[in-house]
Amino acid sequence: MAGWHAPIDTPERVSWTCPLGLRFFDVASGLTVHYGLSVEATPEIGLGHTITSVLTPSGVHAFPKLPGIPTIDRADAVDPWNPFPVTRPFRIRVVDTLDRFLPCTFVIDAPFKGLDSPLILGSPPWSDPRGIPLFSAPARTAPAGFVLARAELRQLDGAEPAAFALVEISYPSAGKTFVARGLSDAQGMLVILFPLPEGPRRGFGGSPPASNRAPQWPGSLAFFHDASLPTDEVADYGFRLTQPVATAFRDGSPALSISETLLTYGEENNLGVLDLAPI
Amino acid sequence: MASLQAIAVVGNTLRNLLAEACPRDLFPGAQFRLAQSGNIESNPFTDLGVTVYLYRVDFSTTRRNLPPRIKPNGDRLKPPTPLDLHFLITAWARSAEQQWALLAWAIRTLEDSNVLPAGLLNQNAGSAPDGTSPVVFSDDEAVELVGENLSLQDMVSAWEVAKANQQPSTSFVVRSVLIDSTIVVLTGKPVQTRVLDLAPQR
Repeated sequence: MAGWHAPIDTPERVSWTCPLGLRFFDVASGLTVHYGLSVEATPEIGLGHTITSVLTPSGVHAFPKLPGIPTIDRADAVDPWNPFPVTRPFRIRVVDTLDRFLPCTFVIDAPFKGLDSPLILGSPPWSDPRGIPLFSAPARTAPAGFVLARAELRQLDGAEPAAFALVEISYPSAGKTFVARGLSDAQGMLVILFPLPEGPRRGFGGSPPASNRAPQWPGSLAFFHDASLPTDEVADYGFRLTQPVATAFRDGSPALSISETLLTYGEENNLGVLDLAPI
Repeated sequence: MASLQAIAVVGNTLRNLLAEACPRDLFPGAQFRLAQSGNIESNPFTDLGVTVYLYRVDFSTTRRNLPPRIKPNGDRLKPPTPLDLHFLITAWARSAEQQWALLAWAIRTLEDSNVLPAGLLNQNAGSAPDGTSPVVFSDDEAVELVGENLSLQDMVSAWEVAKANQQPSTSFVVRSVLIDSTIVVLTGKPVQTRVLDLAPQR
């Protein structure tokens, strides 16, 4: 009979545990990013070769084996995480082969239980249960129905690019305040994308009054940048998501600080060249 | 992915899009209505206006086998049903010149809005009886609005309900409106640990 076997005793139980799984999400849309990512792990301390992740059907980038981490196979333990295995720091490098997102790197300790974001970030707090954030690259094509804002960020004292500056735009939608975030690239080029905000609700009855206004929303700007950090080609989340608050000045004479803007749907909102200075 | 109010919200969005953009100096007193077949048997307006009439609903054949929708809490729902909504846009006026000008303006206005994002659609979803604002379309969602040519046969069929009162009209199709299922598909969580029981073969 198919699928039937005589009752058997179970003399041995073995469990195999994957030491690390990472989930990535698009900061602009909030959606999980599955395909097109190259994710590698290298031991941060000591020797060990680089391991490339395996994409699981559920969209998780898994590392079934990591150098220097003994295989977690417990013969008798019901909970393989008790006692918790010895951890080792690994540097993760993420590159989008489709050029939608900025490359990034960060260090995490593995083995790590679960899929919650293993990044522990300071102020401004940047931790998200959806996983590791991926920021839009300046050349990314804006998804339909999204508001797009661009800027070129420089350092005020030297006109060098303000590499990997974190920028937030707070905007009202449906009576609440939402925050859209973006990260400039190594050349200081920034793009922020966020879904079209929702205006006042309209009902189903009667014709609404005419209003030839273009759909616009006020946005509050916040900048975070530390010019003393080393300029790399890839954003290190360990530093870049915890930068101090900075002030932005619009290029011109006299230079005026900018903290508010008006965003228009359907066109590129170019904030221009902005010079960042520490507060 | 949209809830069951999606079709009504799309129609209301088209109507409000036209009503808000209407140049009142060119078309004073113009009104805008959602219409059923019974409303177009005769001029539904006292003066001039535009009706938005949903005359056909198709299953979208360009997007089959959609992946299941995953809610923020991780629940996996049955795949959504993609629909194409065909709307007949009809201008009504006492004089032919004004009617044709109103129709041309309506076509131009809708052609200028070829993407309807979730923020705009939800804005036209009204409020629930308890005062809350229902979210019909999710943030990452948008639908396409494109003009389509009706064959003479299709036009005659659409106006079958008002043969004697046929008016110059145009058709727009709203593509890929995804109607969500509420049925949760039971799936396991991602597996980090596999447990195997071993026994000697007898």
